Amino acid sequence: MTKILEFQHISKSFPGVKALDDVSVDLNAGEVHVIVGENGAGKSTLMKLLSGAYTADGGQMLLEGKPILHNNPQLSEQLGIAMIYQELTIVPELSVANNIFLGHEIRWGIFLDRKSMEARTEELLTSIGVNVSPRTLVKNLSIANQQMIEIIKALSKNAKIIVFDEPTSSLTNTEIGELFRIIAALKAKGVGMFYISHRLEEIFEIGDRVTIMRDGRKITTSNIANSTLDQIVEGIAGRRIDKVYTRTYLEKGDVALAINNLCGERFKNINIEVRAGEIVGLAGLVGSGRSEVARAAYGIDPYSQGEVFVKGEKIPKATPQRMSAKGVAFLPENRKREGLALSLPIRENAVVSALQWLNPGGVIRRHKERKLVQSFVDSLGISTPTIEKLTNFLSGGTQQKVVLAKWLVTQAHTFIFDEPTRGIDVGSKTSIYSLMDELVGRGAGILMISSELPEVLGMSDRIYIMAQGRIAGELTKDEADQMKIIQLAFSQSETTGEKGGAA
Amino acid sequence: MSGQATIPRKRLLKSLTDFSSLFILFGVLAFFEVVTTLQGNDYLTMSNMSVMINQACFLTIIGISQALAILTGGLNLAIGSVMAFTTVMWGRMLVGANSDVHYIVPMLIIVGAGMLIGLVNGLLITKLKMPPFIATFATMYACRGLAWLALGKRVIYNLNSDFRWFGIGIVTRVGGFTLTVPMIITLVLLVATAFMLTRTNFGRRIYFMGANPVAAKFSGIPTDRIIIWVYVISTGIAAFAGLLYGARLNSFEPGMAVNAPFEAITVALIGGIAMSGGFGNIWGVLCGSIIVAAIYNGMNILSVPSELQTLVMGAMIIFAVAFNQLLIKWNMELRNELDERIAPDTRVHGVEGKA
Repeated sequence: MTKILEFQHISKSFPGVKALDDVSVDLNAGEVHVIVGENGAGKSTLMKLLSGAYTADGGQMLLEGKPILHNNPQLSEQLGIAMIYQELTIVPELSVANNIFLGHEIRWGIFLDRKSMEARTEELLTSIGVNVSPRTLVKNLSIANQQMIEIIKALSKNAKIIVFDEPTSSLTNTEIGELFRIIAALKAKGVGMFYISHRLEEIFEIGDRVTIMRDGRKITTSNIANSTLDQIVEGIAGRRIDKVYTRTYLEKGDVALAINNLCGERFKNINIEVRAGEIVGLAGLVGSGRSEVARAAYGIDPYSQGEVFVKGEKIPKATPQRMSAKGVAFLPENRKREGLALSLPIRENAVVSALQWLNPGGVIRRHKERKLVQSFVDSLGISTPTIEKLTNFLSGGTQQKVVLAKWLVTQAHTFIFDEPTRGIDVGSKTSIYSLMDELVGRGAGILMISSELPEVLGMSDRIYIMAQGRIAGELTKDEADQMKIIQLAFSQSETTGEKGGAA
Repeated sequence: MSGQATIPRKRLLKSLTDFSSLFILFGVLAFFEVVTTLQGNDYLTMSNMSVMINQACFLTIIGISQALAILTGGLNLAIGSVMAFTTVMWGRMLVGANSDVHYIVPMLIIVGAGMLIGLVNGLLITKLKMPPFIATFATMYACRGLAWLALGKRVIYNLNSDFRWFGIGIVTRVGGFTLTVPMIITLVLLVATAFMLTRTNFGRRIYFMGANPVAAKFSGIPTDRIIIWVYVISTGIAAFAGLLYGARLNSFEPGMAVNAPFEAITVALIGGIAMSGGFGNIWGVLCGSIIVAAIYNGMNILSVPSELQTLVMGAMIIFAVAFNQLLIKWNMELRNELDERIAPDTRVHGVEGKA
């Protein structure tokens, strides 16, 4: 087998995080090289170096033995490197052929040569065995077929390397089968593929080699044929499997937050109860509706039916304003976009939800504000030289603590954490966990949405598992284990059967 | 890292970059002073400076109106037509002969009418989810049309002289510098706006919302209410500016202040208010206005033809915005660096050091 790509001693840092530390990985032609690791392990950063979105601080990339210098997205495309992300980048209103040749249309003089493009598309479609017409509008295709279009688009540019980033997260089982068939066809054509996935079961089906990453470092690369699931899980989780989580389990209090029979576009009949003094996990696959439920209950997205109760009081129509006034806090997954104003200092971010309570007269009491924010910065261990530092310059973990401070200032009693530790390095993770434990220790209730099973298992008193927009099951901390959760998360609903591809 | 010696210099640099538009102002003043002197004209005399500043005051008021909308991440294009419509509708009550009502009554009506139009804009933006550009673009046309309907080609002129004091009154003369009533009004308005923006809950929310509307919503900030209030205030100020323009020109007419929203954007941008919202200091608007007034004034002294003046203003906006952005970026970087470096002496009890 020929080596087509090599990462040599790659390093990359972001403010506050060492994302990649001396990573060396290679890729053979006609190989599926699986990369696994937790969120923040460095997988995506490595791939973004390949796509030219980032530039490495140290080390080099060799393509067919020659170093790639000054990589950028255009160059990487020219070199035959293609990325298939979970969010698709196709134009729904255009035909299959137009999408495939978008940006590199075949021309006849100044005109588009539609016939040639359609013929070439037809050819590519047949070559990997997909049966759709080149003239179909992409919006009429199933999600799986839309993904095929992305792959064919890559092929039309003669891609030698294709990176799949969580390609199966929004696919049904039959669609996944279809994707794997195509990946096998690509292998036969000699295309080298990196395959990033959190679904460990599937990597045995299609992978040749697997590289495990953790905390920005490569742990091992091994042949999948010689690996077991346990070995891989151990490698991903590493030493931290039971040291990270601090939990003191307490007597539970009254119901703090109750979601009754909530229905929305992407979920149905959801019943969730969070009591004071407990952490309730909400697990499930990406796309199962976890975040959607929480966002609807907080009034960010609409819901069609059902009720939300806070401390037994019915909230007429949940809005973030009403929910926060009632003492419910929401810590979004995307802190930069949804949690903080990055151009403002810690101080202004920390008090923004509590302004009315802090300054009932409407005029800001600056001394009081400063003292209060400083006290939260101290008690949360927010590492910053001053409360005037712009939140833009803080690391992910510190930013999360500022968002938490914002809600602690309002004296919230119930917290909804959406992926509390996504993108946060290991050290800060531990301190976020112990803060969560402290919160419930002081009588708060927490609803924690998480994709990371160890986190769910390590932190929760109870766990709800969602699948396809329903609650598929509820487990107590003693009943729960990785297998049971995964089984429930993959369970099909009896009534709806297989989910149709087209959304 | 070039050691300890550079830190004071960096601190100085940082405090300088806080006032980016002041740099432009000094540059502009110096440029015209040199050029006019070479031509044998006067520029930076006390009397000419008071002319410039008086001119700048009118710009500052519409600039504040615009800056408030921009800070929320929006825009108010209705400024000029609101000035025309409200004053044309009720301006007759300010004509010299109609002395049976006190002039304060029509003034209050006009500002109130402006606020109502602002309310409409606010509702269009929040309840009908129209982009501010489109909502105020529509009311811009609507109000202008109403103004023409109300008055046709006529002009309201010969205004009450007590009322005109607001636009042309003189407080005192100090050594060639004329302190005018509009200057006092502008100063009061600036101080009030600055207080509102930096020292009240309302102002905090405006900045936060402008900086990140999504996070504002997630944080439980009543974003709709704030936007509505901002447009009410912004448009009310615009109507008030219409009164001052009329008082100065001694007339109200439907075609008045067509360019006002764009002049207002100009002074706000030059003054360092970021078009994306959530960033900028209201005093920058004063600075931006003086810059614009100083450029026009200087070009008039140099007898630059008016077509060319418009061109220069376009170039000026490009330059000023680029310059401001550069300085803002620089300022933020310096700020970050200084925070790191001064850490050991300034950190307050028991804060964890950086790992």
